Amino acid sequence: MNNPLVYVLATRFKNKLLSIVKKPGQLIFILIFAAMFIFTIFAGNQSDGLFYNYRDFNELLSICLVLFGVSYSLTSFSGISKGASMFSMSDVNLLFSSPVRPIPILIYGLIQQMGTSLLLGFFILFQYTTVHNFYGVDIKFIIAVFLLYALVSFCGQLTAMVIYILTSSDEKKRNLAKYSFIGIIAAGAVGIFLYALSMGQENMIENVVTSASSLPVMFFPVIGWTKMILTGLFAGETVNILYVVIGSLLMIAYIVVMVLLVKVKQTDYYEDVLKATEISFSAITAKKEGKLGEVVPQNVKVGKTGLGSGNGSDVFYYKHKVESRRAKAFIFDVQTLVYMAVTSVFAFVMKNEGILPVLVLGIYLQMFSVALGRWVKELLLPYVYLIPEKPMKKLFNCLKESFVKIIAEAVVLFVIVGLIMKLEPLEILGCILIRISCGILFTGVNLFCDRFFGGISLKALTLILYFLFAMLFTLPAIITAFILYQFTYTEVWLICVISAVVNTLSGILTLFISRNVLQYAELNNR
Amino acid sequence: MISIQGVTKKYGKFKANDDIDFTVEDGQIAVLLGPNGAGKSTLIKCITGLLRFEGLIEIDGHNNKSIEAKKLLGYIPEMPAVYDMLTVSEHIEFILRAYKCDDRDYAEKLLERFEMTDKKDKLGKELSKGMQQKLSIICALAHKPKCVIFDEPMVGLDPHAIKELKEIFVELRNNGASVLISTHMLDSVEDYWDVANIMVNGTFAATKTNDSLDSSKSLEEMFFEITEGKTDE
Repeated sequence: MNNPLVYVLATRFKNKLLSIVKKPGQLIFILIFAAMFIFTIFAGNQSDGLFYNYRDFNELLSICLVLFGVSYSLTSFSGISKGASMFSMSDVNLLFSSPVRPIPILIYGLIQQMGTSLLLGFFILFQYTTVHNFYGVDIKFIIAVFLLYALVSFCGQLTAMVIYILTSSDEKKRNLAKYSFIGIIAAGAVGIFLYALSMGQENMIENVVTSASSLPVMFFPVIGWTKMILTGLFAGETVNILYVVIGSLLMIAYIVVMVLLVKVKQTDYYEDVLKATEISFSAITAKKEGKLGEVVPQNVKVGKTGLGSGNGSDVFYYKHKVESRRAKAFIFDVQTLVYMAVTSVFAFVMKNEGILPVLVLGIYLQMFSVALGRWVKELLLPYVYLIPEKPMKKLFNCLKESFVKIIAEAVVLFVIVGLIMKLEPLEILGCILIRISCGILFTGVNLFCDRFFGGISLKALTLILYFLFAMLFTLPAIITAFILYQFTYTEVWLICVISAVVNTLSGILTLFISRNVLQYAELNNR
Repeated sequence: MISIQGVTKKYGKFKANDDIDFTVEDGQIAVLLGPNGAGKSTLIKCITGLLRFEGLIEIDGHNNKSIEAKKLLGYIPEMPAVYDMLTVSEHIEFILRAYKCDDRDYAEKLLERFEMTDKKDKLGKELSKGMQQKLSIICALAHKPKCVIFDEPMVGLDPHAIKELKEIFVELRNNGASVLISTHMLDSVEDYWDVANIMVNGTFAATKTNDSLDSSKSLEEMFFEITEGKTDE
């Protein structure tokens, strides 16, 4: 094998496969994953005949549009801000300094990125049962969405890399590019929404779907083109070749233009990519080490110095306040704000469907945001284990800031949702309490997984366990709510309050079980 | 005094440390030597209470996991332990508050000695690796621990900081502290070690006291003799 790039790609792929066989953890994970996928298909097909009235297929295509849009914009935005790179640090150190021409190296990076993008969309495959039951689609559709999602993520990365390279010399230029990019996407979303509003506020879901299915939307770069391909493949009785061909050609042209833009800079791209790689390498390392969510911002305004207060373990609380202020996440971080915005928009669209779907979506998103608390980062340095205080006390003080945020988030979110959906004050209170109890529970489950499964080297498996245990510990509250709703005449707000109490007790139980998480660092060997 | 009795640390079937016994007396500098993968860092992490193990470890007579033991312990990890979002002076404030220690003067002196005074308002993330290491050392010493454990403390330090650190080792010993240093830089501890423990494959291959050593042999010669069975002859 004379070409070193082909050799590296092939050898890495081969070694990856071998490592799966050698590491039983990875093998088990893949087997569980495959079993779950087969079960999903089986469960989906088993329920054939139970659902007679399929929902509007355009609704599903619109959901895909949102999925593609979110993926494309988030990948690009985070890439432009923090540096997007298709290369690893070893690529930079070994390949960039080698006598190989820059363009083959770029192509090598692109191939590598395609592989990574493919891995990003695996969660889509597990939605088969739901989409099959509600929209009557078959497995071909879900595989097409999965592949297109990978393509969109790839384009997002590529776009971010190009913008980063072209604007790397000037911070102002990059900011302008970043906000213009987001502005264009936001304009598209607002356009769809306004067009839907112009059709009246009565059937909001239908109007949004009609608006998102209009022809101009399909010509929106990348996001619209992928929807065009999907529409061409599945919307009609037969495949609409024209849609598929136009969509595919536009996507290919886009990728070619992006690559040419990098080529314009010729060998210069090394320097820009180097910086981006260093930043994304620190992000990847941070993720591997469990520093979930936070990549340290490049420019931090120090502001007022000093912790100001704290004695013994409660110094962690004051330290977290200072750190959050500097990370510009004093009350809510960007991800939490995005989740809150998504839930609020969802509440607006679903305002005639009752509070339950909104509550469920909010809690589902909360499962992700809770895992980002500052306490998680504390487990990575030795101080929290070395400081002479009882583990339970240290744990409480490490969680204090997260709890304050959970409460603030619950109040702000459900006051907004309450106003949108015109809920009664007691219903809003019930929702706030449910949300707070879930925050406590998810924090507890997170700790529980750290305490008992922290040593598992495969983080994806730990994440699956987190979701499984979160669902398990939420069961008592769900069962309570179900019994009260089904067999008694209890008012909805009171059901919420009682379920919140049960949920909080489950949360306290998980915290109690995990109280010794700060006893040994190896329990959190992320 | 640091006392280690019958400590075994297993990862699955692999024994990283196998039935280790040794003590570091008050006012003594013990060095832990050994090739890569000998189990030095694992042993240190067991002593500092970061890992679970079989056996008994005591810090001044207290079980190493007790609060009393933690109060007496200072630990400089292999990788600098620095918070990205705290300034240098906030790191010191954090440690002093966490250990409920009022003596800020000592920490200020350490800052001066490691030439970090002008970096007081720099964030942890803005420091170079060497400076992060200096800050890590200052944080571990700021609360005046009685037992201090250094894991490869010289890595990344500039010559001035290495000189200061060597002086600090001696000062700690003179003040009656128990000092345990794990290092590969044999010449850096040549002048002042009291006990040398050489680890190979998770066990102690040899323990020598400085006064018992054949004066014609350096620490380095002794190390290679034990780990590789080689002599200069």
